[in-house]
Amino acid sequence: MKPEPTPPDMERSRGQRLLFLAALFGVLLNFPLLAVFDHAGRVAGVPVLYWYILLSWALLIGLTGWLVRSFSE
Amino acid sequence: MNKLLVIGFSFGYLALLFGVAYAAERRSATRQSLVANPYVYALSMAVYCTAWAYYGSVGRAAHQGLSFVGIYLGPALLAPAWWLVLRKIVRVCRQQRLTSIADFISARYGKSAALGALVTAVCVLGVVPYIALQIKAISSSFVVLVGSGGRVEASVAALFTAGALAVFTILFGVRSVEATERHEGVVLAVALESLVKLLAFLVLGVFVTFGLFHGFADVFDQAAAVPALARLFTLHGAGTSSAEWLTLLVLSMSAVLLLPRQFQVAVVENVSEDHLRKAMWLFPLYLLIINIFVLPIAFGGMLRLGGGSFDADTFVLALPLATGHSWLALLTYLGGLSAASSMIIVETVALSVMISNHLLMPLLVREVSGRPGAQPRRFAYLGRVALQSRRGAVVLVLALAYGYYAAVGRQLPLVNTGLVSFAAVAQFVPAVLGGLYWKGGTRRGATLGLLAGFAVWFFTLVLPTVVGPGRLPESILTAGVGGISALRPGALLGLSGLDYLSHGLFWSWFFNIGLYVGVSLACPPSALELRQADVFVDVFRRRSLAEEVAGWQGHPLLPDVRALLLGFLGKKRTTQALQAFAQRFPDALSFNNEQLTFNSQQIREAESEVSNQQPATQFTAADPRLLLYAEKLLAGTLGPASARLLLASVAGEEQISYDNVVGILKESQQLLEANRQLQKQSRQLQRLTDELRQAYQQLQALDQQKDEFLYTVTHELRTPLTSIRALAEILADNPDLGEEERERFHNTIGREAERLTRLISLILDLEKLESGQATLVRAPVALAEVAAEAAEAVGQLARAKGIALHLDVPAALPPLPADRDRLMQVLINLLSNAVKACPPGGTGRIGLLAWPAADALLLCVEDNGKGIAQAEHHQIFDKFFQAQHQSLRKPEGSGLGLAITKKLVELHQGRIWVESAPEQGARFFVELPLAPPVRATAPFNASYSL
Repeated sequence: MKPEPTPPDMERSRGQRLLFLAALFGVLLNFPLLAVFDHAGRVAGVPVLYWYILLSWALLIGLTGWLVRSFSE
Repeated sequence: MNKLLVIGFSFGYLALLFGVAYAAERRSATRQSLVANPYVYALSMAVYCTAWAYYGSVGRAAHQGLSFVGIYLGPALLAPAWWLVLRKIVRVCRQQRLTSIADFISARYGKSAALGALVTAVCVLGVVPYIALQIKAISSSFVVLVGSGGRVEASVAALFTAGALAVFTILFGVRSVEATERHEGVVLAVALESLVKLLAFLVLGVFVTFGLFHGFADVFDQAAAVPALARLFTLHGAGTSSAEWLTLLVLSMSAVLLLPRQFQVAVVENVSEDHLRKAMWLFPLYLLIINIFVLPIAFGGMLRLGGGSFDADTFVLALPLATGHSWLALLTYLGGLSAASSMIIVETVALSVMISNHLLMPLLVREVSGRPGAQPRRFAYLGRVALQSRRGAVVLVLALAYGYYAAVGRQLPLVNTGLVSFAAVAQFVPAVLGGLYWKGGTRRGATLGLLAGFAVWFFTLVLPTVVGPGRLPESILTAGVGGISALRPGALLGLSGLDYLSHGLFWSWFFNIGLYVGVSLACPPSALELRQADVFVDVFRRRSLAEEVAGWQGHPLLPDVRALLLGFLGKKRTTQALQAFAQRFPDALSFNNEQLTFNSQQIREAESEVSNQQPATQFTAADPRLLLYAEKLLAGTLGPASARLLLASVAGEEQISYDNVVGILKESQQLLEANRQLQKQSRQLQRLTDELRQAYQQLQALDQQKDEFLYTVTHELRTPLTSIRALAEILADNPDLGEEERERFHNTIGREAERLTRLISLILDLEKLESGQATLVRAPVALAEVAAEAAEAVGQLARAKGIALHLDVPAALPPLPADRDRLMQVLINLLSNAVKACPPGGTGRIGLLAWPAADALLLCVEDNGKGIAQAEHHQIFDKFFQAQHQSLRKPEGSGLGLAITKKLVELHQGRIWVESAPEQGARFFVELPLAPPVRATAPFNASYSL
């Protein structure tokens, strides 16, 4: 039988997950990784770098929203 | 466009803001807040996007491509960490009633007035140009829209805007002297403005992208044909280095956390910590949406208007104007106006509170408390002055900004001033984050770090902007200050190769962090600093006011403290506050219950009493917790440093000796540790008690068993003894007994004596087994051989009773490591038991079988006798079980056979059990391991446990 995690535990892990998310995207949206997409190519007419930044950004927002949802939901 | 129309719309828009703010205040007064929801909270945070974002991003994108994104991406990257950082700041500020970044740093580092003043000075110097920038944005956009007019008109527009915003800010931003009070009007107005600027920018973006061009692809296709624009598709091509990108991210992260206006909306105006949850993704989403069209508009402007004649900062307005959509231009102008005005309003509110609380009030409090006179009057005077000074500060800030704009601001591009301002605010990062997570940071370290960082910031980032004709000579940049090449603002100490922003941030943080940490480590903190560090860092662990360490030299009377509060908070708030305090700490207010109710009449009485200078004999000294509470209330009005000074004026110096604080902190640590130890020991004790209880119960059971055993043994021994004695008496009394009779009696005596001897030897045997003295002489034994021998031993008995004995023990069984004699004893016991159980007269059957199991040998002795009831399957192995049930069955043995058998089997690490039902015969199974375990168990408990 696994004991139910208590709210403080969940709060702590929530904080850690969010911190990890910030760190992960901090690395994804910085050099040297950014240099991978920093070329003149275009997808559907829009520069690759523009796509990469906007989509990562949107993904970050989505993940943050998912992680901060309240536990009661 | 018609000038009057533009002016009319501008003032109409500002009037709308007044209306919205007024409505919000009205609703707030009736407790139906329009502001207390996460959406308004997130929108009000978007005050981050100023006119600089609105106009300047496009300007920056037109020349430097995507690097503008960094300024908005930084906050988005930081947002997930808000749950840890911003929530902690909000909690600290609510608990300590802090209302600005200066309050925060000052309170953290020993409520230092000097540090608060320093932070305020840095903020004012760093942010006023930023406000000037907004004024410039408004005036130049006005000029662009009207299409004519020069410096004078721009200045007039700027002046009117500044004036109108000053009125708004004074009306809605500094309504009461209490700075912790939220400004619902301002917040709602700012949230509305965030919506307006977002909508206006999106409308323009859609117009440019889909009206002037055919979608995103078309804009980028056309831009790709122009080499100057095509290179902006990449950071590399636009000349943005990795260092500059990182610097932009870091700067914007610092700014979104610590800019005075962000601190105001995110911390001071925060209604509930839970609102952070939604704001953490809504705010980045806002930033993302408002930035999508920046690049298309910038490229559209460059393509349609040509880079040369137009300032790229004005593309937002020039594009719709040049294509004949003047109403759209008016809309985007209003969007820009909203971006600028919201920033000016919130920034001015924040700065004015800081200026009044950290630059003016400490001086005034020192000045006034030294003066003789009735205390209540002095406090009331100070309260009035505080509010007036805040209003004055609003005017001062806007006047400074306007002055800066008029003097130097006109030439500055939008983006650079903003970033320099960000870098100034970034100087607070070490002191704030260190203060939140590191208890070792001290006032001295923070002060020196901040000073050094500020100096380097000024030298590397501000000095270059004031170089030019008629101002500082150009040689400073190339040759260094005073001709020393190490003192070049762009390459301090010879560090070159970085862009100016990264260079400035690197050096300023290098000295700032270095001194903060280094000095903090070198000089020990004072007692007050230690306590504040503890309060800040452990804010989530601390629950109540009472836990804080406090002590004042004097013991002020309650009316004094109340007069102090009355002066600053007014009657209504004082009454509320004291009632709240009385509810929380009913024991702290030592006057009687009638006075607890604090109705206004009593307050008036108390007031008149004090003002008449009558000795308030019925009041006793105020509780230390009340002093702490009062200090916090005042901190919410005047800032922590002034509050401390004020309280000291009635209560004497705050008396926290170093040893005291260290002692208490240590004590609480030790208490915690001791508590943990105690719990551990109590758990251990509990376990020991349980074990003891078990042992005691076992002992009791054993004692009872021993009694029973003794009783049974004596009983068993007495039976043959009685018959021996009786027979012996008969023989002695009747000498004339017949020879035959005498012979029979002798035989009986002999048999009974034999039975007695056997019984005693069995008891001795069992005793030996149970006490663990019995040892086995193990040797490989062939089971078949032993079985045959045993069968032979009981064969005579069986035959006498007419029982068929069947033996099925394969000779090929592996040899068993066992004591041969003991094994024999086991088999004989079981077999003779079976013989006893079997009915006489030729129907009895006994079988002895054996077969190998996994790593053991199984033996089975079966009979078709009277069987054993299920309930007795365990008990038959107990000593004298049979003897104890004499009433049921005629005893046919000593009652020790099976008990001894069980012991012997266990001595071999084997098991014995029985399967049987009444009248169904019985099967006794014995399992003996082929390889005995290394450690032989000698179960002391087991002997009596069944």
